[in-house]
Amino acid sequence: MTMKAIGVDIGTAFIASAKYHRDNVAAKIVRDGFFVMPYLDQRKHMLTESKVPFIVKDRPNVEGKRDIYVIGNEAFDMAVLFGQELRRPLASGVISAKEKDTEFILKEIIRRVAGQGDPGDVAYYSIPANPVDADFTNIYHREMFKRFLGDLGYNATPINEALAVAWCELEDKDLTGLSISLGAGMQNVCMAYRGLEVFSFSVARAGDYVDQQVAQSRGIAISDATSEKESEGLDLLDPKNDVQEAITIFYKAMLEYSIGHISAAMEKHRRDIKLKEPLNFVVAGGTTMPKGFLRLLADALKENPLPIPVGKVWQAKNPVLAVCKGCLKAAHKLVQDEAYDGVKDISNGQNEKHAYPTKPKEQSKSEKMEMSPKDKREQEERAKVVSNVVGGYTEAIDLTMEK
Amino acid sequence: MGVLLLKKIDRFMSDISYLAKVGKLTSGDTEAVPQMKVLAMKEQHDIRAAVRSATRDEHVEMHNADKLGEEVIIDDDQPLNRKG
Repeated sequence: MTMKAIGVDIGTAFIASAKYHRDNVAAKIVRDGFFVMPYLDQRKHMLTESKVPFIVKDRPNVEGKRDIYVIGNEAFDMAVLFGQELRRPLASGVISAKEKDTEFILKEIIRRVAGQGDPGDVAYYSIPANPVDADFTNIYHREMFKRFLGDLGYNATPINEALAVAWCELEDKDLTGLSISLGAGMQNVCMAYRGLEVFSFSVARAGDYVDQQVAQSRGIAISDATSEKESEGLDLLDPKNDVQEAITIFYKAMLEYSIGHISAAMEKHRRDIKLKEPLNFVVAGGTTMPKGFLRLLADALKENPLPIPVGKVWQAKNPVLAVCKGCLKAAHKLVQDEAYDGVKDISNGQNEKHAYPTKPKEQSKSEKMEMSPKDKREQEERAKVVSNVVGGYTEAIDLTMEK
Repeated sequence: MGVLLLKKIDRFMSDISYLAKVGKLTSGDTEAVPQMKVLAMKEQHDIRAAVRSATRDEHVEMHNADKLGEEVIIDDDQPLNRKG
């Protein structure tokens, strides 16, 4: 039996999975937010007819009452429509302590993105590093998702979110460099040397921080700030209105804050890091999507130079999907390992076994068969959709050429 | 408590697998490994079951599950929609 690999990115705003599909990667993305309303038969029928994904569940501690939880993108649309904030089962990159009793939502989303696994199938899922500026750990979060994926039949292994970006983007750089995953709740940073973590940490200032600060400064709802930040018209180098101006200001503040923490970590580990060439620096995550982000980062790095000189700075090819692709490569590496018997992870996720991801296994004869015209059409249709989801790629900026 | 025990068992399993692989175990030890592995797995299973039962088994009705999220195919070598 062929064991399969899957990568799962568990982010505060989106949960995504990736699997190999012929020569490509097939991804599923779900916005992990929800919108609650009291149960009414009429509402249930309307939502069913409108093809809106939702969950009906008994209200905790209240007998005879039920609630409807709209989940995914439709929940975001409803929150904007009703001028309310989108509620999320995750906060700051981990299971939210504020949103109790909502783990069933995460379970349903995981079931949807990962699908049912077979014995021996491997899932690598992303977890944030412990934060340097907040008081919580990732232990409960890590074990709960291990259980969710384990219940679906996977041998689940956690991987640092920023290290997953390195797996995705630093293949041709010996998995050496600095990687950042800039999501909604947290900013995860990892300095990797040949696939090993030199240091990693997270800071609690990312996309949500920008939204909250913009909303507070401009006196608008957080969901409106999010909507403006995610609009295609936003250019961080050329803001068009006062809200966009505020977004640019807080993006700069966020970047300067994380550069300060990276500098401190580099100073601490300076003796461990001996590079012959300038450091490669890759960024990924939904918060890097606005136009002009990379230029803003490059300027911030020039104004606040890191102790280790930075060479090229670039954005992942597909910023939103880089983490789950990195997780997929790590999972695939394990499945390919001859010592893997489908029972136990044979490595601790940090040793040299994981030093270098390789290409997918040679495909079987049946998999190599030509695609049918119907499959081809389907793939082309899907490829059209992806451009709306994962766009935003910008060419690299070489800081050594800009001095 | 459960998490710490899980970590301990995970570590134990890694150590045993590693020692067996690099030949640091004696023949007697090697014979004992499968049995230890089974015992460790049983214990691991028991703890996971306890963790599972600690959380409520909730009844939820999911509707329109197939409409949740977006499915996309990424050409690994030719990323789409590059913006300069």
